[in-house]
Amino acid sequence: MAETYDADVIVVGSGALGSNAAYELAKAGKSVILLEAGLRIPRWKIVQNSRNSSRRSDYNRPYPDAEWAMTTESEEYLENTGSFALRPGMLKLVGGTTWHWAAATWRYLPADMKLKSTYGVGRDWPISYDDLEPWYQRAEEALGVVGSDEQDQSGQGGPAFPPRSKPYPLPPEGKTYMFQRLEARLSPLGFNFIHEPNARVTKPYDGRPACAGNNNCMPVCPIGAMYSGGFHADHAEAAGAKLLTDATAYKLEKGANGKIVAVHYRTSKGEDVRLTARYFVVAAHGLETPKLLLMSDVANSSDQVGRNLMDHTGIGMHFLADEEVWGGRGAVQQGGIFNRRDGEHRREYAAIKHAIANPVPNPEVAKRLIDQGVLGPELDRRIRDEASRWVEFSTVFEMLPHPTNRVQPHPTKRDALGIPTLTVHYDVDDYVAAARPHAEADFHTFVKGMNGQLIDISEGWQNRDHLMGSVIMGADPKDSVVDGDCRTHDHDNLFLATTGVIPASGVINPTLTGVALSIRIADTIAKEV
Amino acid sequence: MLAGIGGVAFLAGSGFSVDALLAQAQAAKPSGAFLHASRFVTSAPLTDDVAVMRAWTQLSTLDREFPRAAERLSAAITSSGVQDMAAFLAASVSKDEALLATARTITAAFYLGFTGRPPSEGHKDTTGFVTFTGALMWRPTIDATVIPTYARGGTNFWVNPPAGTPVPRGPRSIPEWQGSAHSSNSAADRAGKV
Repeated sequence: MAETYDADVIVVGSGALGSNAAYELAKAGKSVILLEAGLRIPRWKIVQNSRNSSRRSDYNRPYPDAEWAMTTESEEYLENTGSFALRPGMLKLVGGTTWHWAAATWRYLPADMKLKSTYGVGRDWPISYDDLEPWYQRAEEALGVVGSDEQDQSGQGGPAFPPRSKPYPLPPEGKTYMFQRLEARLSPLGFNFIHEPNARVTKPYDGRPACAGNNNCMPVCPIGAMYSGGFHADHAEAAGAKLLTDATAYKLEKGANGKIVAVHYRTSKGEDVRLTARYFVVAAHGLETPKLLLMSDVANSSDQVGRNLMDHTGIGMHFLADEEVWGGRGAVQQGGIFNRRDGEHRREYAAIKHAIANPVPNPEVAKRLIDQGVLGPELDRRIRDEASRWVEFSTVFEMLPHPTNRVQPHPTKRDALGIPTLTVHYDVDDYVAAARPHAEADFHTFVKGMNGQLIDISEGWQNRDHLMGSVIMGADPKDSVVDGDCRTHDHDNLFLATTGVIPASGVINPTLTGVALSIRIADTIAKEV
Repeated sequence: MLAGIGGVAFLAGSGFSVDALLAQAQAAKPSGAFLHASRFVTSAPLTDDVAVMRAWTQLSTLDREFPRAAERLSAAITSSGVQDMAAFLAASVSKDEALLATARTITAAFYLGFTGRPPSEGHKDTTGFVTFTGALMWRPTIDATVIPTYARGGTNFWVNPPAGTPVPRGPRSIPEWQGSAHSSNSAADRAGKV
């Protein structure tokens, strides 16, 4: 008698990666269960929470942080033991953490994926750019990516690169006036300004309206012009997937022949449920995915689960230009300067991306002036003057994978469900530290080029919330967790849909790559189920 | 408004303790002194009673001395005889650091739209929400930038600068996306002739 299952495939996590995988599988006619630890929250409610927050720069604030579905908003949920407090924004609700992001949707460069072979540092991916290109295209179509087909995205000033099989699904948004002015004055100094492809549609697309410049991508787009995973959670349901909320997976059950046979989840009422399936996809976040594997003693024959954790560790800079550039018009981010994204320097120090931040600057400007003691009508005058000339750069560095940078289930602390919280050990490496002086030299050149007044360069390092490496991909089962298909080396029917598989971080936001890999996972599973 | 100030002065002069004033702050309407001082230092009518109530309650809770400090500031404004904040800042009374600190606290609450200070690390903070759309920091640039979530220009409005922006000297702007090598790198641009 044939064995019966609760579903063909169970996907753990309803974020952008899990929901896209679930949608593709449901569309292919497979029975799919999609588990989500949090709840489904309507957009209007998050927008209201955002407006009513006393800390609008804390992008997690408008979102739930339940004791039974805790996030990094809770200090007690993530304990840092290293020299750097890695505390990425993490959300638990239908749609996941892409509810708040700047929607940057880059492709990696071919050299990013062959870092060791090309520059002798870090690791190579076991697959190439050409292998992934068709799925990059599908991911861009799924997310509604807008982009320029004309630019060399490596930042080297060459012809259009990397190669594409089709144009971007949508044309880029208009260039902000601030971007125009910085480009006009700094590109003659040799800086290559690149449009940042992003999932913020410029025309109505897949039920979403065109971006109207609400300038609130983080913490939440009020109109849904910006992509979040919730769109594909909805699509997955419409295609037949069963979405279960308030369902925190806490154990993957091993069976015979290296198969995973079931996932166990717990509800906020303490009810435990066991679900069986032919295949399992864990898409539970770059920190939570390795935690679930480690709690389950799964996929870890290499002892690499939770190790090699990478973020795009960053620094920032503010200055006042000598002319009105009027940042804050349009989306919160549009592109930047990419000269150091690729090149021989990567043998010695990390790749660098300088992004031009574009939030309405009044909160930072006003706070700074009040702290300086500016009051009365002079305060209004200076807010207008400085807001019009305010420029912010947000810079990130390429990190290399180190086994000592790791996430683990906390040895003693438990959440309200009795499930371990997180402990993270993270140190910023010498490769990044060696890049910092070059980034700061660029900062000073930017200020000089705009005849500006430097306000500050951040001290220390900043989180950028781009988690990679924690369930690292590789060709050798002895030193990696998944293969080039994101299938765990140890379990044929267990796939990991997370940016945690990425073995070489580059400097670009990894979400599009994660979605491309997730759609590819779905294609692989659909052929086997 | 002046009746309110007198009311608080009467209470203070009658031997009520700061604790009593604090209790009043948390239980009753904002003091007239607070309203008077707040409207004066911000030059704003502050007609959102709920926002004013939040500011009053939160500031009084954060600092037990705040009700008395607001009363001192209000009294100093009145006794100085000045008509607006610019004149107050130019007057000798503004040399009083305590008065200025109170003015800054009030200004921060109504300009930034929250009370307290966010922590530099961690998540346990003392901030409290006052107002979002009513935050006065938006006021000086409302013709040029949006209050986030309240877009009003439509897609690509951001290509052009706000009305009245001076035409910059030097290289021209190019609103279209082009190849990175030649986007604004013409000989004319380099010479700053356009």
